[in-house]
Amino acid sequence: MISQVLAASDVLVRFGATTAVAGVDLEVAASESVAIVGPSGSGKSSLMHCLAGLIVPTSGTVHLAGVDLGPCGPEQRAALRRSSVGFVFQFADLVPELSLLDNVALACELIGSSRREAVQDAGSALDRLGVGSLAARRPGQVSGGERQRAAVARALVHRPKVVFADEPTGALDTENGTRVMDQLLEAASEAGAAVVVVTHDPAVARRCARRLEMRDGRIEGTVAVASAP
Amino acid sequence: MIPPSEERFRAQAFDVSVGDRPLRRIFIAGDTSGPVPPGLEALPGPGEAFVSPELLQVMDDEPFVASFVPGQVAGTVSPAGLTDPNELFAYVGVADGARLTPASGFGGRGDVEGSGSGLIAIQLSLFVLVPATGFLVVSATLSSRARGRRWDAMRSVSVPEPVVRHVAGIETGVTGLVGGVLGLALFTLVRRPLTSGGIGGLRWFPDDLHVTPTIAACTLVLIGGTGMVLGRRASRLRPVDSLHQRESRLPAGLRWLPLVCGIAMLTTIGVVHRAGSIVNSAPLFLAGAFLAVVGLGLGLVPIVRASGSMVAARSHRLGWRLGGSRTAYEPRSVVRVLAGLVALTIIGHVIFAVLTDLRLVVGDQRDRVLADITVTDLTTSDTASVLALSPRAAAFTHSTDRGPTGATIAYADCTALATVIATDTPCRAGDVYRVANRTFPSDLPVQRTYEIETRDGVPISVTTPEVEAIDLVGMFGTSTVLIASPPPTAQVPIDRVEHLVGRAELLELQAAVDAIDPSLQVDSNIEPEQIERYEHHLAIARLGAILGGLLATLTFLVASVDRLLERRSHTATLAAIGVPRRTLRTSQIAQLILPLAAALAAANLVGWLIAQGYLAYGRLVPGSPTGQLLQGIGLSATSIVLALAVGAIVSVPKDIVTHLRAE
Ligand SMILES: Nc1ncnc2c1ncn2[C@@H]1O[C@H](COP(=O)(O)OP(=O)(O)OP(=O)(O)O)[C@@H](O)[C@H]1O
Ligand SMILES: [Mg+2]
Repeated sequence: MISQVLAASDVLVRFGATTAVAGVDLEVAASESVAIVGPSGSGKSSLMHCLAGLIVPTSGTVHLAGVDLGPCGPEQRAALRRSSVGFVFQFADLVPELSLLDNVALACELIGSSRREAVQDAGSALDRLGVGSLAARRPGQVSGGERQRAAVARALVHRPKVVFADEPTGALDTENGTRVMDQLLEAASEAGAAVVVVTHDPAVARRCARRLEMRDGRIEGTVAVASAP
Repeated sequence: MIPPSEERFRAQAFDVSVGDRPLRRIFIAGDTSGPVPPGLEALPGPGEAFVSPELLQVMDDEPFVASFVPGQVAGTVSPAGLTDPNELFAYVGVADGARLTPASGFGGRGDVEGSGSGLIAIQLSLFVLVPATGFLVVSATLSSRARGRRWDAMRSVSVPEPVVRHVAGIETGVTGLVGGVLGLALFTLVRRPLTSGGIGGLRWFPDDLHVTPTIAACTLVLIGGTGMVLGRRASRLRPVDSLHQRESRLPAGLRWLPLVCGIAMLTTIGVVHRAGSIVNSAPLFLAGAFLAVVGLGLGLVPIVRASGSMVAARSHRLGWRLGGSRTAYEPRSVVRVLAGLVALTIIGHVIFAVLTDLRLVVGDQRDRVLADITVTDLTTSDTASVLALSPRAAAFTHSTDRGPTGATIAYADCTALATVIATDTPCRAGDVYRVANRTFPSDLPVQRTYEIETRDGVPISVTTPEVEAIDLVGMFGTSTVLIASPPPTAQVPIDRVEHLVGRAELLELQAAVDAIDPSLQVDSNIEPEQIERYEHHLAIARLGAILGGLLATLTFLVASVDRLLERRSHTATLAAIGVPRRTLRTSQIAQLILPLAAALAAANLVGWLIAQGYLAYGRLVPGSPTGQLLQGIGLSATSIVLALAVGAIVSVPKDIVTHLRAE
């Protein structure tokens, strides 16, 4: 239990009559990487949103970084996301008016770093992902792959316990996607963060230590992948 | 009772003068069962007349006046129907209406007559129509992203371009029509309370302002048509690069140049004027005003951007930094919706400057009306009694003894002078002044001695001094020598006696003069109507400024909120990574307030400088429009507070996931 950063038991998510997640039990250990795969509409994103505290499950419990999300209000959940969670979305979703540097620094400032520290950490995070030279550019002025790398930097710069990525490579070509994915996993393991990736891409899933197959809101199978980098 | 005539209702105004006071009579014939004007309980039947209380008084005093009002006085017009309680006014019912024009609307009599109405129309249209048009233009571009996506979707299934634009045009046109119908309905609803309340001292007949089918049709066609054109324009294909920041073609320095030059020129006028010198350069003022306005047009984008960057760089609060960055990132679209408010602010300053100018001509002398009594063959003793009439009045006498050099000699004792001029050195009896001011120097040569011949042949010599000292150009003209002394009693032939009296004393004086000789005319340089008119203008301008300001602020807010809502997915991302809701809200508020405050500050500065320059240029009175600046700031602050309230109300997405998915 101590090493679990994420623990869900019997999570059920309903949207009206639709059951998106139908009773999922899941545990993710620190530094572990987990891929969630499955057909469209099988409830992958809904599960991930639940685990990240973005939505409240209809029933079931989620522990994130040791905190039971059940009794938490929206502000407490937001505080938990600030400190313990990083996100990478399909379309980088960086703030368009901020430079890559400021986008990344934002995550540090949210946990109370001073502006100077934040800028410093953000700079080195961008460097580590190979986009340090683009730090001053805005998201609209860089390529999709570069943008996604900056998003990875933002997700990890504040040393979260777990990074959630929903189709992080969905908008990239295979080569770029693979590179971004590798960088995400590498940076996460350096930072000691667990990674939960929702993906359609088998190549992406293969890079994770564990692969969960979802179907109709349930986890149908688990495949442990030995050759995680 | 005379039965109501079957004839069509007719009404026509006839103006006459009683002494120097206008008397307006409205002759009415035909079917009098129609709407009743304010101040009356019923329309007068044939042979009946309703008169204002003042007219009733005058008719009692002067029987000849009664001949202007045929028929039997059946009652009075209550103050609700008069623009001024002292107005001479009558409704007269006549039997034979054949010579009267058929009345199309029976109101407008509360309207300001003459030159005024044009100015009112201009004021109202500038204040209300400009922002209304802005509103329409902005409305046509609302939800542009969502709509743009829809047009793109249509294009992607190869709907031909003309059809797409047609659909866009019809959509906006129909929206405009619906808005127009709603607007007309609203107008019909508020018409009665509005008109009976009397806006800006104006009263009109509710039925004059009803929406005729023609007006409705024209309005709807206009609104629908404009909407259609705007919708078609808004649906045009945009080049992809508009997503990226389009940098201005002008170098940054050049963009600021006109604004800086214009402000410098206008400031120079103000400083020079304040230092007490003549500002007589129309080119300087016009060029300054032109450059400042054009410069503001060019500089608004950089100003808004700079305000955002500054806050983004300086603020320690994340919410303000986010809002500032947003403002600095996309100033162009903000400025587009702010343009109306900025234009309105400048227009407002200019109009209020014109009104201040009017007040300088009309209003400021309210307490010191120059009553001009033309005295012909008045005996010495009469002159003395005329002068003695008004103890509180400062008396001036004019000598006609112009002589070959054309100088007018006027007298005023020091106490009287002190009420009208501020001289640096205290006035001593016997001082001689050349009438002049900074703008209009005296025509008279310096150190010239005038020999004034009296009728009795007694010469008086007056030498013009070197200093031009006195600000009475408006009353006497620049070829006047003013002597600080009471008028000489008998020697100087007098043809005019001018009294500076209070407005209320004017009538007193008239009565006193009448007592001496009823044929004596008291002319005043100011008519009460002028003041009335000025006050109407002021009230209308105020109302217009408030209405227009509200409309323009609303336009800005609607467009801004629309943009905030279109950016929900970004806000949702920020919420997802854990940005507190309070910070997000602050950022929204900052996005509304920053551009608004920056643009309005610049607009108020430029507008005020233009107003000040306008008043300084060629003018003797330092009509500093400080009050106006304060009003401008007050109105702007109201807009900002409104924006603040709206920014606080616009919800920060609670349902993060839905907005994340929406992208
Ligand atoms: N807000 C909502 N309201 C109603 N139904 C929803 C809502 N969000 C998701 N659903 C439904 O829940 C189910 C699971 O959706 P979810 O987005 O989790 O699937 P997914 O596995 O992520 O699919 P994809 O691979 O296409 O992204 C779907 O049937 C979807 O229609
Ligand atoms: Mg999904």
